Amino acid sequence: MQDFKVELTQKDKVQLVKIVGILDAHTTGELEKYFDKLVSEKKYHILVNLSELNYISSAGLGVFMAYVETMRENNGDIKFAELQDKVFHVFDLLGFPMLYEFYQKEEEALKKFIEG
Amino acid sequence: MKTTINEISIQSKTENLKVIRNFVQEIASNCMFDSSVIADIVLSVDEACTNIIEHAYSCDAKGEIILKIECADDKILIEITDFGVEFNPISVPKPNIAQHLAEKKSGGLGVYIIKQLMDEIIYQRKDEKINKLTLIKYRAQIA
Repeated sequence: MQDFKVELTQKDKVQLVKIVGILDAHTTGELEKYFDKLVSEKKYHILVNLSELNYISSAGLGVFMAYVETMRENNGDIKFAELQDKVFHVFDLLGFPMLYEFYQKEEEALKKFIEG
Repeated sequence: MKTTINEISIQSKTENLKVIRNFVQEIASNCMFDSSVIADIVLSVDEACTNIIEHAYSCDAKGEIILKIECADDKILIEITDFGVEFNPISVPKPNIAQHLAEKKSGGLGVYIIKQLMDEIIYQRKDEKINKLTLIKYRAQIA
């Protein structure tokens, strides 16, 4: 799909999910399919790298809201790294920093996941 | 500055959200708003139109959305018209995000974003068939 791409990489027990492009009500369905697959594969430690995400609307945020509890129920989590300021602004509007962990660098988040 | 008005009509499908955002971005840029304010306006219109597509038209792509943008000295005014079922976003309560997470819910956030980012929101239901939502952002006053 144009303007939207997901790259998956496994690092230790952590599933890296790099989302590239635009996450709006049109592309959200595609991201949900990836999360459904991760859950079906029992991958619950999710690190979302948003360094190349240029736009997000509440539809995109909704995906992370719908799946995080499933990850946490299975001793995992969804953590975020490397957000552009304009994208973090939208997460911030909805109070996400109170409910999720955000990291400047992917390595930091990875370390947090692995060392607990 | 002379008041200018631009208008487009588009079909109610999510792939057109990009067209909507580009239209708003271009007009708001010509209107000389700051880039961070333009981003807020673009997001608000995206959220409003997403709600129209999903709620007023229940994802039926045959619906029509008309966007009229008025740029004036002191403000930008975006009038969004649709002919779907009545949907008054102003009546949507503030979401409890923590509760959303616990219930694994994903929706219901767009209106809250619009309310935070825009200065005025006006909803009118006309002739029992027209929804008209007006979003207004005032220009920051220079001291």
